[in-house]
Amino acid sequence: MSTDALCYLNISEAAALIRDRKLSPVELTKAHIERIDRLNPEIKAYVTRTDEQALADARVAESDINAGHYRGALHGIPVSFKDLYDTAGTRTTGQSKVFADRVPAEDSASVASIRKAGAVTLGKVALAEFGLGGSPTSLFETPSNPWNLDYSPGGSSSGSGAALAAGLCMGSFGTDTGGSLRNPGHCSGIVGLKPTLGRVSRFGVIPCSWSLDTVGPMARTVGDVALLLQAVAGHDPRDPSSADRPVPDYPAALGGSIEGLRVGVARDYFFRTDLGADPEVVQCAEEAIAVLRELGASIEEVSVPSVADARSAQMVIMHAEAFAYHRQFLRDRPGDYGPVRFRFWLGALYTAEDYLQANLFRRQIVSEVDDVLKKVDLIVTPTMPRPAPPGGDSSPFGTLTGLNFLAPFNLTGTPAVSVPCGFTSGGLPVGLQIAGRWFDEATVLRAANAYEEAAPWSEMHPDL
Amino acid sequence: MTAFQRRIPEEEDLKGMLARAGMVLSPEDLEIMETAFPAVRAQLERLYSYEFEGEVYPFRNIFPKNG
Repeated sequence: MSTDALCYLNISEAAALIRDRKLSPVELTKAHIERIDRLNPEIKAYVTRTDEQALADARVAESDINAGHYRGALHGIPVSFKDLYDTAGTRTTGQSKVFADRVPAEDSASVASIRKAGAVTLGKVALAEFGLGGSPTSLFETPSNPWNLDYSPGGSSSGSGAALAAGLCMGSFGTDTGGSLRNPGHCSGIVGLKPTLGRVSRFGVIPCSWSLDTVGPMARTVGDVALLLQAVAGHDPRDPSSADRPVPDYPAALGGSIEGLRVGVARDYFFRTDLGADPEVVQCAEEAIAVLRELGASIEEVSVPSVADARSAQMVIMHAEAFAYHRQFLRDRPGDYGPVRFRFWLGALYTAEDYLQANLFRRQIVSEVDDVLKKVDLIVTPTMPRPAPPGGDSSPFGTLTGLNFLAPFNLTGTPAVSVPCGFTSGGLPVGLQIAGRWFDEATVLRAANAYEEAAPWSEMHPDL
Repeated sequence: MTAFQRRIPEEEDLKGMLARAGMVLSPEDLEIMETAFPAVRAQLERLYSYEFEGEVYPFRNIFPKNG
């Protein structure tokens, strides 16, 4: 099998070969390292590589498997982590000069879980500075979109999206405060899952916004995301937001039919080309909804009355909480921040009343979405109103106004996945967002998997 | 006077608000910050257009264990 073919195997495919000793974890890791050598100078997905440790871990995995100690589907699988996840002994920078020399002593909860599952960590991948800024950052370069190097791979988990689309890892972990797992899913043509707030421990992940931050998996297929989620989901008393709920068998939940599943479509907001949604993006989503209908889902019109103001509330909460975390660094070392400092400073402009008003709004939209999800099982939208934006320097404040399809589900904390659903005429990927009930990732993933099997966009890869 | 008129800061307050938070900005950075002010005002105006009634504790149901 060629290096390219090895690197574009799904986790489940590679896992079967590794389990049956037809593929060596060392061979698989070397293939990725060679590909990173070749492509990373252009893609710029990795900011810190751990080649030697990865090869050492792969050798241990191979030895263990040969000795009959196969740990499961992630054993020997090469993965990466957004550079917000603490990695013991390896710098964790938030892609900022502020933390340029920060070397954690302890792994974050997800890193520890993934290591325990036997996966091989290839390194740390790029992000928008501290998970909030745009481009440029104060440390390292900004990644390019493998589908078109002139475009952004999305963010803030930009390196994860770019690395997966370019075949530079088989799974990756990102964070989502205002859409940062789903946005690169949409822009880079991969799958990004924001689990329910509380489902996956945030212990050891540099915060952006305490009440909104969610960590989760990204991969090239829904099945692979289910495998990664399985390894990290569960209660962790070290994270005060962590929920003590049973964890279902996510991979096992994928096989079921979606016959009779009730899918809500809010055309009064998420499909509005007159408000700025791109017609090609909307068309891709409409075609995906038609596929869900053909698969037996019941499509129903729904409405979330205050959804248009979700982004405003999310930004007030996010900026206020981010400013609180960064205040001392901003005061003492403002020159070590890139343009993200402008977004943090916005947090200084809000009063306590503003923050509480935004949280009262949050309660309202939680209630509205809860009402909708009593009538339907899922809400389906285009992941974003428009395809990936051009790369290069972005506005210091990002997009403060306009349509936003991601923030509502950050406020509600409900799970939402982005799964590829087509391409624009310009060759840029488009994602379908599927959101579900609290802690019902299984139904979200089942629907996404059924769609993916019927419309296998994930089998397409960029020509690099 | 509506709620949002009473509460939303004026553009001329910008430097003072940042200074009170301990932030000292260069004139160039302050100028950039001023460009965000219309959008910030618009966001707050939208949020204060909602009148929330009844139970006012805002954090219920945000984290699952609090629900």
